[in-house]
Amino acid sequence: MAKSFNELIKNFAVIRNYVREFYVYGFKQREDFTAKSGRSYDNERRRIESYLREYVEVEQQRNGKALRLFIDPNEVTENPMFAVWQAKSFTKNDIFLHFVLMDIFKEGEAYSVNQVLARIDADYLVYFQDGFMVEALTLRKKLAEYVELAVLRRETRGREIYFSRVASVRLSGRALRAVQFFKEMAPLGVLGHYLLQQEDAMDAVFSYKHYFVMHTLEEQVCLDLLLAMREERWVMLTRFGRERAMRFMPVKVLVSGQSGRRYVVGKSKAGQFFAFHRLDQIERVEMAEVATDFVMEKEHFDEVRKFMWSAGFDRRVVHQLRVTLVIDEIREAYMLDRIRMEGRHGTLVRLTSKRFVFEIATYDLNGMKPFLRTLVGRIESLDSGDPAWERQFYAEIADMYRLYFEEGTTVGDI
Amino acid sequence: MEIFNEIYGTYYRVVQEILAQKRGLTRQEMTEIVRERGFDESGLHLLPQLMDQWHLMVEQDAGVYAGILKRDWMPVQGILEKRWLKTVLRDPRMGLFLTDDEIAGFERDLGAYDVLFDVDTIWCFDQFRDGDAYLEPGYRARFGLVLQGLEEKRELELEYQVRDGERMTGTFLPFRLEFSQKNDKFRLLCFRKGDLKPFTLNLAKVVDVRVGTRMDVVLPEHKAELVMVTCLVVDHRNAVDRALIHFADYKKKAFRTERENVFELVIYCTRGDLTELVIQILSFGPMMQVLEPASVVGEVKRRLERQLQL
Repeated sequence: MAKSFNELIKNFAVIRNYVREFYVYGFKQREDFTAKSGRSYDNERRRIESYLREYVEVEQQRNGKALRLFIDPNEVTENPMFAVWQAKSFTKNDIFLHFVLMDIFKEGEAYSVNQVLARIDADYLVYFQDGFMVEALTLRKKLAEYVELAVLRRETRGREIYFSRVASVRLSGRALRAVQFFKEMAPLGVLGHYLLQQEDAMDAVFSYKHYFVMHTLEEQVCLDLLLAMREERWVMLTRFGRERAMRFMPVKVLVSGQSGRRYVVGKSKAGQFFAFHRLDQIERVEMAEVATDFVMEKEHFDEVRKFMWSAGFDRRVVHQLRVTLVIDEIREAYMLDRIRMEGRHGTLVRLTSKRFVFEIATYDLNGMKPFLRTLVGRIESLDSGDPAWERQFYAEIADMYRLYFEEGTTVGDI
Repeated sequence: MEIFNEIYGTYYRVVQEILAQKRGLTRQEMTEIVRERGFDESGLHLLPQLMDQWHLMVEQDAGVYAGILKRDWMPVQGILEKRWLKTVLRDPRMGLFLTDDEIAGFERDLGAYDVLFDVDTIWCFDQFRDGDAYLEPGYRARFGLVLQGLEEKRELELEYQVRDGERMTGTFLPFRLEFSQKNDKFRLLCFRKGDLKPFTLNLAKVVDVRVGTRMDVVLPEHKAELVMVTCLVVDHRNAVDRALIHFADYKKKAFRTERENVFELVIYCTRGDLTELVIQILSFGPMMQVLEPASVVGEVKRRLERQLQL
């Protein structure tokens, strides 16, 4: 074992990408991780194997070994990737002071720095004769850190500053059960995980379908964006692979329950149209100045989104799309249900007992293609007012025929 | 504000667990706790430091160590955790767990804290439209009873709406409550009492629940047969990245192929979800091609043939 190896890490950002690559791709080999040195790959890989051992699969693939995180989201009752959030490194002063301070500060009692120092010496360090001591400066820094976290509060009494414990919220059985659910299904769920893991263990009663476990890796980015919106601020966005940060005013976070992607929408300049950035492609977010026109932009987006299909606009014009579908309303009622369920703001109009029209006004004809392709086998005609787009849609269907009906044709040939 | 904080880390949890024992522990006993709660390699790194460097444990008798803390541990909740709690209190689903009075009580306890975001700051734009009615009193009451059955491991007498007008009644053994954000629905995974046949019931279609006696059987795995669906994806317009993320809610494996821009994707799908999977694969159009099994290829072909005839 190399002496310098530490299982814990200082920075979440580096490991975030490795975990994601191992989980989403799972076929990449040491040589594919070119951004960092091979040594860095070895260390991160060893850490991930330690945190997520039961999900790690190493496989010989052609010219090398690939590590894969093999997780069945339908089987887990808790996101295994929370483990990565629990690997932050610390110093011996950090851990000593954490436990001793939390022991000293019982609810309702207040102490000055000198009183705390005296108690540390008298009640805790008395057991050791190795000369270890806590400097007043170290203690002050730690107290300030815990005040910042709102675990402790600071108050001035006369000329002395006192510290005391901020009360914890006591969670009833059902409240704990709610936290067990929301830590998986609400944004920033790792914060709920932090709360719950300090309580008595509970049986699992929930499971999850259509669960995208890798989103927890983006939670810091998500939190910073949400706080910026709460405070109506501009941010500086740094995207992976780009050196310069970009000024951006976030107005909403968009989540896709189907495609597993999350985006922030906003503007990079006043007067520009809305732009989208995927959260997993954002490296970090820094707060900037207060945005004076946040409310107006938010209202504008709420207007615009009435015509959005997916997270994007391929053009600024709203198109009226009419899709005539062949569906038997008696025998294929499930199709009608599905289109109503998945059709967002579109409407389904009955022409006859066997023909229906799906109508929608949208900015995003290209974004609608994936949905329309799920209706293959039903589409009698398309009317979008954009013949070029319609030709392309049918050309792609023709490519699909070739894939399945022309012997020897595969996706690489088209 | 940093989410990544050592005070919620695994090492602190392990140390807390060891200190909470309030009695002398042998090295072997501590090793067990580390093995159970730590990371795979924590045994190598954590224990030597705990015993020699962190000044939290003293050797009482030969080979027996005791913690130096004096009081019972109180959970450490920072500002982010409390703000998160306040935020989820306002989620319409919170009423499935707590009464309105309880929610109001927590709102008061957290009066000094601001939420992290408003409900409308996050928009799930492609969620299905017939989500469960979380605020409907009858749904809340039935959810509470089902949850009680799960927590106390009790049988449930259910009346279930199968199709319009048709009802099914029976005794079921609850296994898990499954939630899907995409469908915005809870489903009860359970077994029929008589023959332990697995059932998946939409909670919204449960019209009546009675909580019965404690279950006296060990439930089998509520597992459906997994079908391996093999596909090729071409890396055109970032389709591989999109596909690998899109299908990340399934158990899946991806491989390179002989061709540089073509990747193989093996998706493990339950038989009952195959139609949903076919729909998702179709949505990728000519970027994705199913190779196996023949039944799934046949289903895609059938739809394409039908389209050709139109």
